[in-house]
Amino acid sequence: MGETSNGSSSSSMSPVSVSSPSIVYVDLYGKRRQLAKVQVLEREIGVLQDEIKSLAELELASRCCKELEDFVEATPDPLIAVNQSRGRRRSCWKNFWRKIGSLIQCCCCCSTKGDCTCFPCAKDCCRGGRKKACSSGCCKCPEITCGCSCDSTCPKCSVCCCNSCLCF
Amino acid sequence: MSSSSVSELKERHIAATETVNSLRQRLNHKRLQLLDTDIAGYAKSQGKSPVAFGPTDLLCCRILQGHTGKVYSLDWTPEKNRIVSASQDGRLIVWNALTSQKTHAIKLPCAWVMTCAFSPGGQSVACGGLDSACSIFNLTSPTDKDGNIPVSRMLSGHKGYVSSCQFIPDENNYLITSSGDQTCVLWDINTGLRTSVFGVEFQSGHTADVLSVSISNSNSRMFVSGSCDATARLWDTRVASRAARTFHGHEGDVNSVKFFPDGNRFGTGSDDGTCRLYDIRTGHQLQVYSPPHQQQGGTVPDAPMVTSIAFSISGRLLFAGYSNGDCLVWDTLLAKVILNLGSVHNSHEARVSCLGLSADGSALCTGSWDTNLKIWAFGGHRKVI
Repeated sequence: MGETSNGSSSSSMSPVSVSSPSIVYVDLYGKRRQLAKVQVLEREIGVLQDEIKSLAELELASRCCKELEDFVEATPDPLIAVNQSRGRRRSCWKNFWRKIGSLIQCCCCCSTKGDCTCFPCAKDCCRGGRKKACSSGCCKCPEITCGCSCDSTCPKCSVCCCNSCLCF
Repeated sequence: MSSSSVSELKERHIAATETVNSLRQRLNHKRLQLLDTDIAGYAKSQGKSPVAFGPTDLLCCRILQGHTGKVYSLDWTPEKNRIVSASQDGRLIVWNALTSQKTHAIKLPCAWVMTCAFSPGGQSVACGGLDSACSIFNLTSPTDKDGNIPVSRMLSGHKGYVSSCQFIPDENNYLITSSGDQTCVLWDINTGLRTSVFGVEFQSGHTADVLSVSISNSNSRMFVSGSCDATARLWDTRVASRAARTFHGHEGDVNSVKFFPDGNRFGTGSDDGTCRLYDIRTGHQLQVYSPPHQQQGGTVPDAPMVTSIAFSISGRLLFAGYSNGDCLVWDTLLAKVILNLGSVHNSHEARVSCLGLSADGSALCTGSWDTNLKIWAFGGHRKVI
């Protein structure tokens, strides 16, 4: 005669008495885990079958490549030189100037503006011998209250704060 | 009776495994038939010319110094050119990227931080790490008696480290995290509760640590995740029960995922040393970007791993940081390396661990294990037409 287990949470094993004097332990945790694995696989089978069916209507990779290339061509990029563009993209550049605004336009701003703060002009401002005073931004002290400006050591922290000025 | 059920289950498991393997082979074969070209092949057939970078076209124009430990993560604001960075020194630093000045230095309750993100409005930053939680700091909050900005909300619930976090675009109150517990979570910051958990059901999602997330800018309900199970998965935030699509191909951990600017493709970077580009609607792997020393084919032992990727605003450039300090700039269309920021003047002295583009696409910021962040911008001439 056999019995079902009590499914004790303290043990995954449950004794099943059989006609012989020996006790056979059933690994219920293992059985449940095995069942879960089978169910996951059977669900995966369904998903894979659906995906194979859907491939019949899927477009070729070349179509995706064309879409991607069209997008790239139509979108101006501030990190790529203008002379890479073609004439047909003038309208894109007009939109670009309008959208990006002064951040890019001040390529040669240093003659007219006192403080050039746009990224591309960091080097351009130094042409012709124009050098700006180093700002405290070069300080590598982790304390933001450290106001040292290219001093060799900062009194507020133990590290030597400023290397030679790297800005402008 | 019970023991025969177990053996029946084992037989069913073997049969189901064989069926799954056979279907996967059929699926791969059919997919290969649809891959009539890759991006580089198509671009060459259209007569595309490669992007040519001169030696001074992309220059390091700012060095952000202040961390005293490895930089692990960085994020730009959507506006005003501020950057938040996270470091092994246990701090978040908020920088004014134009002036290089620090505006905030936040000492973290848990120093083991792995990720950080700016809220869309720029008023809050989020971070997460080995504490298995995501902490939110409001930058306008008054500091405590020690001069620290207090945690304004702690998002707890993950059962493993928080590897990546990103705010939903245009939503200051929702963000998505990825975790070593193999799930991603969508959080409501106002309540601190989990709105959805992606992949929590047994084998419904990733089967190993999730390392990275990227949310689509064009459809903020879609995000992709990258995992140590060598796959990337596409999710719909309305359907947490299972991934919308799984992308295979990589042969190692997928460390970084990033949506392509058009929102219909995304890139990945992996421990196998390659970057890949996938199409979300078809599932096609459109391109593999293998550094030149790897192009003989096969996996190269000890090849530098890709740690982080980002696309330029047009998608024409793919920036990839590697574990050996390289930072390659790829021509996305022709799959060619056009510049290595790891070998130019002012390059980083150690691994590039994170990178990101400013919102207007005019600058790239790289963060490194050498404790610095660097900003790179176009240094060539630009003529007004």
